[in-house]
Amino acid sequence: MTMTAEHPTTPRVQDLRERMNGYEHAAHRIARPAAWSVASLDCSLAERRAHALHLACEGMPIAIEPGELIVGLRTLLPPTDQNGNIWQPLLPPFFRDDAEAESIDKGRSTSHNVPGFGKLIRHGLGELSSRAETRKAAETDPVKREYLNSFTISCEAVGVLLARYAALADKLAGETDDPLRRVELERIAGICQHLTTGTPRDLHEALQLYWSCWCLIVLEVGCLVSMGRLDQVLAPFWPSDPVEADDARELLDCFIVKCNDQNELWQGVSLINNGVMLSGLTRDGADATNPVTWAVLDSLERLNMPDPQPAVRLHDGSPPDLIREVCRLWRMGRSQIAVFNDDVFVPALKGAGLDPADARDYAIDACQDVTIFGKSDFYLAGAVRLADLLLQAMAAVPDDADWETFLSAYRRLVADEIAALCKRYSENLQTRTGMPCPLLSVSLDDCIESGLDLANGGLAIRDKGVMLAQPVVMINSLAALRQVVYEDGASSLGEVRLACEANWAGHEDLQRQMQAAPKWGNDDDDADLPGADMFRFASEQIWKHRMPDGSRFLSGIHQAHHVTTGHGTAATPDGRLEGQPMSPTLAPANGTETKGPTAVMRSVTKIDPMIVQWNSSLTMVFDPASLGGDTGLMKFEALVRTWLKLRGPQLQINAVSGDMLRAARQDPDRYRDLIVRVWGFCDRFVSLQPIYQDELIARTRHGL
Amino acid sequence: MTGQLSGRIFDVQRFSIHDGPGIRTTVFLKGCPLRCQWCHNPEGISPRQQLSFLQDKCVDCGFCFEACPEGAHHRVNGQHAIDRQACAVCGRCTEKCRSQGLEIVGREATVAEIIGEVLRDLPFYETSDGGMTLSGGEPLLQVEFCAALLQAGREAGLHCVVETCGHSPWERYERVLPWLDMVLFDLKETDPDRHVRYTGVDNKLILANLYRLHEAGATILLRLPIVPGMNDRAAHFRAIAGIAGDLPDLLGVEVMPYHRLGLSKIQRFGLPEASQHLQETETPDAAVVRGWIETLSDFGVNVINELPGTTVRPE
Repeated sequence: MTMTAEHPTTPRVQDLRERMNGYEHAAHRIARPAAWSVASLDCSLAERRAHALHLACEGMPIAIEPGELIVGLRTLLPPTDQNGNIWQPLLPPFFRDDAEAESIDKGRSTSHNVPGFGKLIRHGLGELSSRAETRKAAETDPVKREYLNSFTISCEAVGVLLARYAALADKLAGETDDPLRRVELERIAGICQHLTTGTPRDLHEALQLYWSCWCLIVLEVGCLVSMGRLDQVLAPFWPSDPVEADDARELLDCFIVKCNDQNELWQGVSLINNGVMLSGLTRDGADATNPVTWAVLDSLERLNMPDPQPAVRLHDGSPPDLIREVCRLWRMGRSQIAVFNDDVFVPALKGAGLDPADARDYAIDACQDVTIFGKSDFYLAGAVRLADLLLQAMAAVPDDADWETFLSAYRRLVADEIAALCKRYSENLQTRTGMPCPLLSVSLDDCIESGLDLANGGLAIRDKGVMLAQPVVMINSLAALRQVVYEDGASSLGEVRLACEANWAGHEDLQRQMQAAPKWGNDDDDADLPGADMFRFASEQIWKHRMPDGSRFLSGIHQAHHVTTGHGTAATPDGRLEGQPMSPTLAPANGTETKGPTAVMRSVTKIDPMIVQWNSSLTMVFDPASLGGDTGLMKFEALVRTWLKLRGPQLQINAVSGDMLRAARQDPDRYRDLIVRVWGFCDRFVSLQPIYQDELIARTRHGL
Repeated sequence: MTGQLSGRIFDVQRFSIHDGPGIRTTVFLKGCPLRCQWCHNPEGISPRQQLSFLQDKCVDCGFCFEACPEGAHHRVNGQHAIDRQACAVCGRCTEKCRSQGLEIVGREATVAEIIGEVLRDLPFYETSDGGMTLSGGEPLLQVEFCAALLQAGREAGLHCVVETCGHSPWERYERVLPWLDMVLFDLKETDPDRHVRYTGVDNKLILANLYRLHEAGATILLRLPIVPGMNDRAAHFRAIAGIAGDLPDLLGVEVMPYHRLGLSKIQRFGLPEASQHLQETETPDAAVVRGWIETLSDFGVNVINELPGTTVRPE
């Protein structure tokens, strides 16, 4: 790659980047020693979890690489990782016995987290730890005392690791012959020592604490931790002096390179998938763009690594330059960027009843699900598989029923499924303990204040998202049934059902008719409106239910893992074969979109934007060659602006051509820097599973 | 009612970004008086409907063989082929096709229908200063239809562009001028003999129309399809400079480099094979195109193309 951006990448950062891409640091990783355990400690599960983190911080290998300014890395692997199972706990065993392990609801909090880095960096570990202690001294409820104790232990655990890094930096400073490096190492030692209890005083300290806490929360929850509103947290530390800004940029680069330290794990698919939110609105409604916003984008342009993945929040009052910059970076293949429309997500969150300031303060998790930064953990109450339910409805409705009857039967099934899901989730809250995450809880409002862990009622906002899954297959199936069965009368519901059961074998004429029916993504109301109505209906059902404490369920449209979900889904009335891949969230089904990107955008924006509280996205593919020149960029930008104006939710762009992707498959080494958007996440194209490579190649058709 | 007036089109292309300013919808009208050897829209030549067959999509299900009343579908060396002489373009095979490999191209559409479709992208035109472009084929072959489309477009507030090969009686230009915001005027060749050879017609009328349009105050962008080994000659470029010099209000000149898309369409529509020369001509690379642009610029022509490779940051 060429480094042609406005600010040059320093030799130090170039070197760190090369070595990170070579995964040299992975040599420091060890399988967690079998002898480590806190299972027999005589204390609560939360405290044992904190002790487990403490033990890991005392014992895990540490290393400082040459030239590093931000230090620390993940050095632990799960002990039994033969199957590449990312859900293995990284912490030493903490369950007392199997019975306890089974009684715990592990999914409630331990994935897709966005810790409250604002709080961690504003206050520092010492202050948060003593807050928990003070709170404990005044607390009589033994359960709360245990949680508060776990908070203190986990703050101390981070301190233990930082102190070890301080000592290592000191040692290396004594050993080096390079006087400049000695000064740096002494500085690192001082920073790490200060951060064991102190509050960050400058950018270097803020970045170090951000990184250390992030690493340890990954250890605590196992995977998929996002960094939240990075530019908002760092802005107070960013220097206004241009000379200092150069140093700041190098520090930020070091931090960004660091964010890729786990990319080689889990078959090359990043299990980190670190969503970083940039810009958008401030809590009081002003534009939040600041120098760090630009610096992160500049860093992304020069470094081009899979993580972190910046999601840029745009709104009516965003700086026009920012929109242009995003489009320019998209065109050059920085698929890591997603755009979130604040004029959709903020009103939708407010509409759900959230405080307006909180609604403006949303961030995203690893799968780009919305959550309120530092206050909530919206992932996830459960998923509603809309296409599967449609197949069930077909089995339940007699052939002589009309369209309205069929539709209301389907609606009833969807409503029942949602009711059951919400009930199940609520019952679980009352009957099972959630997996405590003490360090994560320390960072989030109001866990210390309430004396409760985030997974057990401690959060300031306890709402959860409900995922409306298989969206496009549902829309297309509904449209095909309405057209072929209920309008043309060319077939009966029973015939379509039998044909789906036979995977269309012997029903090829019918399959062709169903395929020829209106399809999503062509700005065809016949295809789009029944589906859009269905989302509206399902969302209203979701909003009807409440948790025992009155917390809400939020609605979102999302289809992750679209290829494998397709593999596990029967033949559907849209003419799709059993096992055929689906499309990511609201992207048109492969091969069905014939009218280009404006029509796709028109289809998507027919969905009521108030539904989009928790997630919704459109992924598009463009050939970068067709976006050439200033004119190409201006037209592309106009397309994106119109999307925002039409209140399109989230937009993800892959600027790649089919030729480029095919060439990358032939010669992976040459295309290591080709990073593509898959669904919520991005990765190196050459590292993707072949089934996802195929799906993306099939998608490369838009010519701008 | 002009809204009910209908014409024959072969495509309505949304998000068209190479046929005038901003994001546009281009309506492609069927029929053309020219027979340019390098035609990249050969489905626009005939005013009639045509059967398109995409060999790549064919899954060899054989249902089209049964559906065809004329027996036009047959096999040549085991491969699915179409007897174009026998084909009555009835479309029955397309209804049975499993793979969307067969398709009828060309349809009747009313002005109201088309304007309705064009207006669906109004927000995109507003953001980008775009609008509607009529192209083809030669749109002015269906001049009343054009006039009605343009009038309706103008009434709906659309920026309206016509792309023309220039070979239509002047009265037709006069007829549409009141609603035209811009003309994309294609000039194939300045040498009259070569023009006949390459396109089948003389260029006298074309040049006359160009000058008259300029005189009438039309906003004109002159577009030059440039085909290696055919019209990429310095003499042609110099003649262009002469014409551009005569037309001071010309918006500019745009070079349209040859590409091979038309060749695949020849097979799709079973049209007469392209010349040996064209079959062997590769799509010119950026350096060649840059050379043309520089030559024209050296002759004093205002070329509006952005130089290839200068503005997209290389990876």
